[in-house]
Amino acid sequence: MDDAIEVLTRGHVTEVKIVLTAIVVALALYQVLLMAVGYGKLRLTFLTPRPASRAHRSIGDTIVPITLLVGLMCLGYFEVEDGYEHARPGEHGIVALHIVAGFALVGVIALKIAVLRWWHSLGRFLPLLGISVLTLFLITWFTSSARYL
Amino acid sequence: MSERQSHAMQLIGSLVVAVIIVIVATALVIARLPLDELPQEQAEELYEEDRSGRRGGDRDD
Repeated sequence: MDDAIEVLTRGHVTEVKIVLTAIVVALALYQVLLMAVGYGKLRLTFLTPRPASRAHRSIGDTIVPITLLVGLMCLGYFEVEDGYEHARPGEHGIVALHIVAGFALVGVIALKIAVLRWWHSLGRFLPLLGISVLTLFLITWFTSSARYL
Repeated sequence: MSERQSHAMQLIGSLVVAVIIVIVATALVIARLPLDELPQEQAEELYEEDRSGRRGGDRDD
């Protein structure tokens, strides 16, 4: 697996991950803005709630596969144990936080998709799930990629 | 313009903004990455090739 990732990224695994995560975080912030319009919390003259919600859904459908790809690259190439053991001195806490936030992010995204597709009765929790997704995106980003920029 | 057309235009506009965000984020991040640095293994290989090439050149002289 790690050979395939290395060939695919031509040895620049970290750099590719940094670019992809920056894109995903920027889009996640835009998603919050779109849903603020979608829920009517933010009123704009040029964008009404319905198209904002549809755009949120379309962009979300793009963000999820990219996030899963980055997660697979992380697990396949760096691995949880290696990532923790090879952390710089004094940075084990940050690495542990990154690992926990990464797994939690995938879990919350899966829950959000399940609520959207099947568990409609839990729809009232969608704003909370959305904010949780954004928070976890920011934590995973600040504890890894953002530190290289 | 009908309401449907207006919604379609707004949706397209929102997606165009998303594409612009992707382009800008990519450009800003790439500008900060040391992409000209080669991966360690590749750099070592090139260094060895360069050294062996020079030795061969010296012999020819």
